[in-house]
Amino acid sequence: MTPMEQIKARLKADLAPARPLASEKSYTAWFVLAAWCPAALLMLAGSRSGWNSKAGWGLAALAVLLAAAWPAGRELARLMTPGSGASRGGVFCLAWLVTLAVIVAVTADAAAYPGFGDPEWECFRFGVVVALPVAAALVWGIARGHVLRRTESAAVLGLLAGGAGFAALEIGCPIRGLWHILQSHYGAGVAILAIGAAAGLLWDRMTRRRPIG
Amino acid sequence: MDQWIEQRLEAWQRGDPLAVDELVDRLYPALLRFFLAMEHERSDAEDLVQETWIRLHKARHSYRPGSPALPWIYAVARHMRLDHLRKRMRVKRKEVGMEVLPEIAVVEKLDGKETEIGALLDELPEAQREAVVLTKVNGLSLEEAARATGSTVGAVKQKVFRAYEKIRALAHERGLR
Repeated sequence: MTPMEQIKARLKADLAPARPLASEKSYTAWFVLAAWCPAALLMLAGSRSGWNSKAGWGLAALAVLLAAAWPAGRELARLMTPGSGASRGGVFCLAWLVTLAVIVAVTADAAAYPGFGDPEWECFRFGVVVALPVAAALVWGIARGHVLRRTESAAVLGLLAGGAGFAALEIGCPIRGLWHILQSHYGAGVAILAIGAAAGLLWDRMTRRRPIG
Repeated sequence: MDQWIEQRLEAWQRGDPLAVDELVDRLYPALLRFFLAMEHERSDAEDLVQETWIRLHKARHSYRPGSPALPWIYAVARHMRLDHLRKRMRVKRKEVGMEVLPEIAVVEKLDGKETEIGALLDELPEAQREAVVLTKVNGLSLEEAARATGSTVGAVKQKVFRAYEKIRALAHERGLR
């Protein structure tokens, strides 16, 4: 049996129809919706109870953050297919961190919380709790793809989930103190991004060591 | 050619055995050429082609109908090779010196003019060699090579250009034409 015949025989031994991936646009829409969902729900809840303390600049900055979810979602959808071209995952992560920093600078009040560090971690925990179901929804989405650039994909996934947590905190939390926002809001977003990247690295290592066949 | 492969890939996804035959017949030599140009050892190259086909088969759902087929195939092939390189490095690190050297297996290599070209390609940095092999040995367009390597057209063009300059200089140095 020639190598070519061996390959043909192996492929034909398991030739069940395989449903192809949905279009990039569908996946992008799914990822963006998953990332927007907590923010949208909190906005809705806030508008009814008057809980939402944001207005003007804050909402504009938030809109920028939510809009940034679109290219990140598109990138994640693209990374699901091998051979989809140059990856911009690293650039997105950097741009996202800068965007968050700008939002913090615009919306935070340095005088409101002058001490360094915030003894309360409630917001941080809330941000992580919001990000986790978003991350789960995104993982469920990309699990169907054949991701080759796993660290980057997981970092972008963490970016979207962390962004969802940050947006929810920005809408829900009335505290405008700089240190509080840096530690608990920005910190939650960055922590989720870092966890995503680390999980991607682990995922990459684990799948690389797995034998083929 | 591309459209033909795309149609067969879609048929493969539907579970058509004829598409498997046609795709393997058409793409096996191309993939073997790619791995031979990068690895030189025929046994390694053949193993890698086999593994690539299995990986492609497992990932066949990830091909999106209508998207370029060759970058999808070569991205997986390239990834297989990188995995193989990493594995080789891992094994090398764990190797222990022996007092008596075992007999070295006879390795089938390319010969004649191909060896000269292969030797010149070996002198190139990994990324440049890959760009030249994909575009000149396997006949991918710059756009396709960029998609397969997760790079940009400009970057691939630059790598190929630099590789040519180096090959030209080396060939001149060695008196090759």
